[in-house]
Amino acid sequence: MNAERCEFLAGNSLIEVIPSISDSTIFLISGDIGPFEAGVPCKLPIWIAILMKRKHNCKLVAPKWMEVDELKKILTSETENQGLASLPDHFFEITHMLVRDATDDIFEVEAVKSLVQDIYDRRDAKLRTSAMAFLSQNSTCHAQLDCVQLLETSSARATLEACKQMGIVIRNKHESTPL
Amino acid sequence: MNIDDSAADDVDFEESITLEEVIRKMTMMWQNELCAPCLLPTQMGLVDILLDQIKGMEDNIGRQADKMQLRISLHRMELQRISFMTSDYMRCRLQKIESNPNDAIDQHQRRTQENQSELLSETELQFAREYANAEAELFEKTVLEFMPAALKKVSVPRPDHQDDMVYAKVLGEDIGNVAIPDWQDLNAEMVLEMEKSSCHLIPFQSVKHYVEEGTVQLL
Repeated sequence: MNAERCEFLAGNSLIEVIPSISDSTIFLISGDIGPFEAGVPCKLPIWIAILMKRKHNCKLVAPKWMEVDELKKILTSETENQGLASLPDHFFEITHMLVRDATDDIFEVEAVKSLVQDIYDRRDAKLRTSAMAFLSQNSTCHAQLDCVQLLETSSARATLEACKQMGIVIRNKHESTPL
Repeated sequence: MNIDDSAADDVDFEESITLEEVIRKMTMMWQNELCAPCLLPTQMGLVDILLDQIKGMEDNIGRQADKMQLRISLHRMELQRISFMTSDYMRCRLQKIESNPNDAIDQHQRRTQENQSELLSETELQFAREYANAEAELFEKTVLEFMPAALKKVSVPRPDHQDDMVYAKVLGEDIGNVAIPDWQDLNAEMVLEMEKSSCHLIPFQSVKHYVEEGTVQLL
């Protein structure tokens, strides 16, 4: 898993759009979409929404949690609580896609960007500390990480794998060094 | 473009399965395969359905050339997404097979004997055999030929997935208790209650069964 694949998966989540065209139902393999009526909001998978946006066929409606006030709330709860706060699925991927492809549909883009970056950094720091704590003990092989996101586990996996390899190397060294 | 009828007719899935469901399942299996340390049972059934659909839809689009711009580009983009997903799934599996073809074949046979779902599809099995043979031949020609008899045999490394950790999210309602090895006492096991939609960093071996069942999703 890597960040690009995470974004691909996030593309399947739904988002609200306001179409500027009218069209009948389109029968896609992954489900029917439409019918579209200009000006009437409807829900679409993000990848479709972005494709239509590029063709100037619709406007995206940023999800409620992407408003600056909501993000501020998330950031505070992320700061105050020890554990990870519960975020909507694919939080970072969706923000990344929308900020990149639908800049003009998001209110206060710059503020959103920096808030999401702050949230990411907070969570990253927490995961880092807990990973250190986890790796430096040998009494349990289990850790509960509620609300961890796919993107975060994907980036942490490399470290974990590296530590495992390191462990093997060290064990080999101990076994092959004469006492 | 009626799609639903042609779906899943020759495959041993429940007949009522919709294409939407197939894609959802494929996405999940793809994610699991990418996150798992070893091969998971094959999902060639799903891949075949999707390949069929891609072909059908491509023909359809070919016939409808340039009638409605948006419609066609949406269909085309969807095809690309689906084929990316299936190819990436296969790519990931082939990489795992290539890393140790002999072990993959052995595991496959062990599972067949135990009447579990198949690890490799027929084509994958064939690929694994051919790859293993080619590799053996290469070793023979380049190195082993010149070795003393005692060193001529190459043993198959047995990867130990005992300690491999995975991130797992609980999807099912009633998983209940999962046994995990206790590192303080190597003969003991600890029992862990896994609640719905909780996430865990946990040894793969403990959740393997649930991943195959589909009640746990790897992250």
